[in-house]
Amino acid sequence: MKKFDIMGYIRQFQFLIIFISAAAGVLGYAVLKSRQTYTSSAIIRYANDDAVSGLAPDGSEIDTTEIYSSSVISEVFSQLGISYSGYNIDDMRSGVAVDALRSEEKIALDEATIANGEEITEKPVEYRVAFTVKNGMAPNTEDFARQFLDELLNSYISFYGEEHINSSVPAVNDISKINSGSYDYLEKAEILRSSISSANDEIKKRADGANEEFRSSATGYNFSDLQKEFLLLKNIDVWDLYAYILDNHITDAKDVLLAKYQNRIDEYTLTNENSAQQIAYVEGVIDAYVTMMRESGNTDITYEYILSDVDSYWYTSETGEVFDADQTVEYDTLLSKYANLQTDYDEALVEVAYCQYILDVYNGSDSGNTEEARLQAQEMIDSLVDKANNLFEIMEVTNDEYNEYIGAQNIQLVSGIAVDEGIPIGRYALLIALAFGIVGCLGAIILGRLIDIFEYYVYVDHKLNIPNRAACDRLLAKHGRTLVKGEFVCMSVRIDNLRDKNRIYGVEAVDGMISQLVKIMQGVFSGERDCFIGVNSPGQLLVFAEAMTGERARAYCEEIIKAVEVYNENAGCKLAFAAGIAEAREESVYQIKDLMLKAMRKTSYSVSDKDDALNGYMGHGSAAAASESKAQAEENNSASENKKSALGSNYSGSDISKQLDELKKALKD
Amino acid sequence: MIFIDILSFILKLVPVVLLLAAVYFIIADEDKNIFAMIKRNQPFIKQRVIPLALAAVLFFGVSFFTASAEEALYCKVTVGLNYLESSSGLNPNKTKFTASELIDDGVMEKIIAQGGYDVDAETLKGGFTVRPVRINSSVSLDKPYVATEYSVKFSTKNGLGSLRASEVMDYYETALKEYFTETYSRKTNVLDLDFSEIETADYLDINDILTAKAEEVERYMLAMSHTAGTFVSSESGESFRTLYKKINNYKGVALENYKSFIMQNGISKDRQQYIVKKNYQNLLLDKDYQKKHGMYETYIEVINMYERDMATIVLVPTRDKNGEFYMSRTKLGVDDFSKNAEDAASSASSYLASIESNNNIISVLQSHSDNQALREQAETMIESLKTGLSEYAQLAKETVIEYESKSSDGYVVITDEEQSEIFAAGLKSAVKISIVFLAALVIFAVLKPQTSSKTQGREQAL
Repeated sequence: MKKFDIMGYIRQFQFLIIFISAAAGVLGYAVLKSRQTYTSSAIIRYANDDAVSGLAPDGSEIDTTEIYSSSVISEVFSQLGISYSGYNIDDMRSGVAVDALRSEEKIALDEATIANGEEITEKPVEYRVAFTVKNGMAPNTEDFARQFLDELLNSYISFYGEEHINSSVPAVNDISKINSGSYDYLEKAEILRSSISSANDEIKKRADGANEEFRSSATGYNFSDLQKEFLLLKNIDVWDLYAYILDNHITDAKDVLLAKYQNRIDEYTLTNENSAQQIAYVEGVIDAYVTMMRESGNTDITYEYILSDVDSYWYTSETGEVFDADQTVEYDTLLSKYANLQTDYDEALVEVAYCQYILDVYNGSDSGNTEEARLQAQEMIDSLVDKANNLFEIMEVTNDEYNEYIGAQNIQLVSGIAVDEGIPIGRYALLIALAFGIVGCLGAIILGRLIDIFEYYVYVDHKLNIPNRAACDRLLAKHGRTLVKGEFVCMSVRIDNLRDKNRIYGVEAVDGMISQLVKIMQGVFSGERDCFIGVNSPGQLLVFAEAMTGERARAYCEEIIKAVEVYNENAGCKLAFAAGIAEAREESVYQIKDLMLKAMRKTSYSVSDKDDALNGYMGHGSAAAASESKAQAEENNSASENKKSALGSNYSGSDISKQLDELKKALKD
Repeated sequence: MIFIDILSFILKLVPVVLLLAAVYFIIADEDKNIFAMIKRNQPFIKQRVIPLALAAVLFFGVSFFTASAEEALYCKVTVGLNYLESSSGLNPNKTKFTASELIDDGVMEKIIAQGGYDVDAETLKGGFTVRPVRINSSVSLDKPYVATEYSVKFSTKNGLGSLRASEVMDYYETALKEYFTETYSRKTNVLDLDFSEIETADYLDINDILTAKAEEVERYMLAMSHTAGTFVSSESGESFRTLYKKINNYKGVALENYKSFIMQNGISKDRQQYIVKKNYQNLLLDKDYQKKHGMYETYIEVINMYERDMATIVLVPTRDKNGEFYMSRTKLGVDDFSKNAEDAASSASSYLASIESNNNIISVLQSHSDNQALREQAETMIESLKTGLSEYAQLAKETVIEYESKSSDGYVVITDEEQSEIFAAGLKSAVKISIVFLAALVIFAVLKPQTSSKTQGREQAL
């Protein structure tokens, strides 16, 4: 059996191993790539003073889940132009993660606080916001992950500014559709006055609370500018309109207008009757409450009755919600209610007086209510509405930008967006290829050895330990499919008189003799690559060499003969053989079987049997004839060589065939 | 374009294939002795030095052509954010900066307008890619980093084949600078004063209008003096602080003089109409006054109703903001009622003041008659006031613009690849890949087994 050659086995399957490793690497890369994820992350800091207490500027608790709330994600979709058919909001939301971060100093401080038995009251203000997306979600997933997080933070900051700092626009534009309603001129003027006056008051509050540094880069205005603009409208344009309408008694339908104002008076009167009743009830309750408190002794409270510490300013309900404890005494509530009712009552009286004034005005002469005056009034209304609408629009844009501004002041970006791969695909693919390579090598060793074992039992002659007839057939079949190359040599070695020698020396001695010949041949051809030595049949050895000239083969053959002759000098059972050599180019035969037959037919080289015992056994005549024929063959061979030299390139293998035939004839004789 | 992409891919593949083939030769060789293989092929190399050199030259030529063609398809610039707030991830107006802003629709529309392209902004945007120049793989509190440089690349792929990348990028640079300046520079529109309302307003209302406009300029200058207190205009020598002071004086002197003149002389454009207007104003102000006054009286009544024995006051020792002890009193309902009464009284007083002011105006106007000379004098004063305020506003605007141009410098710095750089980049790329190719080719040649005799035999047999 062949020796255990690890490298040989690997070499045998090297291409398969390389292919499988490469294929596994590529396949692994493709699979990992399809499962790849990209995570973009950034660090934000809540920068308002109360953030360390976990509170937003409006006093509510900082809720980081708002970062991935549906409204924020929807805004991101809108900003990035993402279609809802291709992407799902919840999928995107599930990809967002928010983790609190603590610096090393803070962690050390917290540990020290805990070690002292104190409670940590400071809440984290820095958070890592990450967004993870699967590969294939977008044409360039890595870029998409970064863009999405960028827009997410932008939208959240704007949302935070609007929800927790600045809230919505200071005043609502309720006059934009004023001309489409069925209002009379006076009613329009009232609405305009109310709306503009209210806007002025609300924007003033916003201007007082807003950062003085802020001025919108989109509109060029700040809240103070806007408030002054509204104030001008209120103080000049609104009064001009009012005065013009009332002075000229302008109306579309006087009767309807009068009816409306009379109706208002009636409603206020009714409301006040009800208010007066309620006021009387509350007064009764207050009197009863005071009387009862005095009689029960609850008014003789001195400072000893006052608790030194307030137990708690809040309480927790059964559902876990926390409420501020109401510390208002019932007496105060009653008086407050009384005040509110009385105020409403008084205001209703004022409104009644105003309505009565309007009725008095419009009940007078209506000579000023001309078509021209009405047109003039409408013009004034339109002008005022346009100015107000323009200011409302500017205010909305300014407020939106202020929300973004104030949001960004309160949520700072500590670290910009980083993007990381979920799986280091290149590294993993290389490892997969390497693992398959190692497994492939191990498989090759095992498989190679199994093949060796199989071949040993099927294709090896166990006595001579060389390829047997089946191996020869396999070789012939392998090369039989194609033409052999020019430098392909077939050598046939036929051992003489095997049967007789078996009888005389026994099987073991003859086997030893053949083994000796095989060893000699293996030794001689050891320097040749692709050289096959096999036993075709008992006593017949075949040599196939794939890169050998006939000339070299003949030289090898002479070496074999010399070695055999040396062996025969001391051997009991002497070797005698006849060998024929056929080179494809020399013979112009490129079919291996034909080449082999050519070689078999030749006996150009031989070692004669000088075994006395055998000669005696076989009879002198025949031995002498054989010797003679051998001598003749050598002579012929020599002549053939000479002729070959003389003929040069015209030499043909057919001469040898002719000689072989002659030799066979002589042997037969 | 696809042809160039394929060609580029093939060019990169060729050296890889040659090297793989060389590896195959080493594996296939029985000796696996590289030096022996080289020695065996030495004669072969010597014979083929010229063909190898020619192949390398040819490869270089194709590579250079491909690299140049690719440069024509792609164009790249680096955009650096050149303002203080950028390192905090903010825009110049201190809102959050997003990278997508560099390819905002506004920028795209400007490019389309400049180039007269027949594409929409969304399609054109599809050709742009924006990436930070430096992309970290992780974020850390210890090493905070906010990107301020972005690489912007434009490709004529994605249906933009009719455009020339370099031309689009040229327009992009102009468009982006314009966009940033338009979007984020300080707007001076409030300094562009519009006096059209003055034409129809009465003299006293003109005072209010001019005062409001002067206050807008004054506020602007005050805010700017906080932002850039040390800035002095090289043109006018004015600082924001001096301008603020000047406008403040204008208000206190010029406008005050005008108002005094009008009131002293009872001048009006339409005396009767103005009196009517003030009367109606008083009517409505009185309505508001009555409500607030009623509220005030109600709360006073409630305070008087409050029985002293229904709540007990306790004094609580505490500290004030300065850390000093004082006695804090427990709060009662009376305190809230008092506060409400105070607020109502304050509002009522304000309304009353306005009513009295209006009454004063009415009485002044009623006590004077129209005087053309005085009106003309008033008109002259108005013109003078308008001119004065306009000059201040113009000066303020010029100072702001000068400050902006010096402090912002266009907000963005765009560095594009020069033509010579593109040529050099193409050349460099071609030289690099050609060297790799030549090396791979030589390795391939020295390791390739010589032509086998088997082939020769076959040839002969055939």
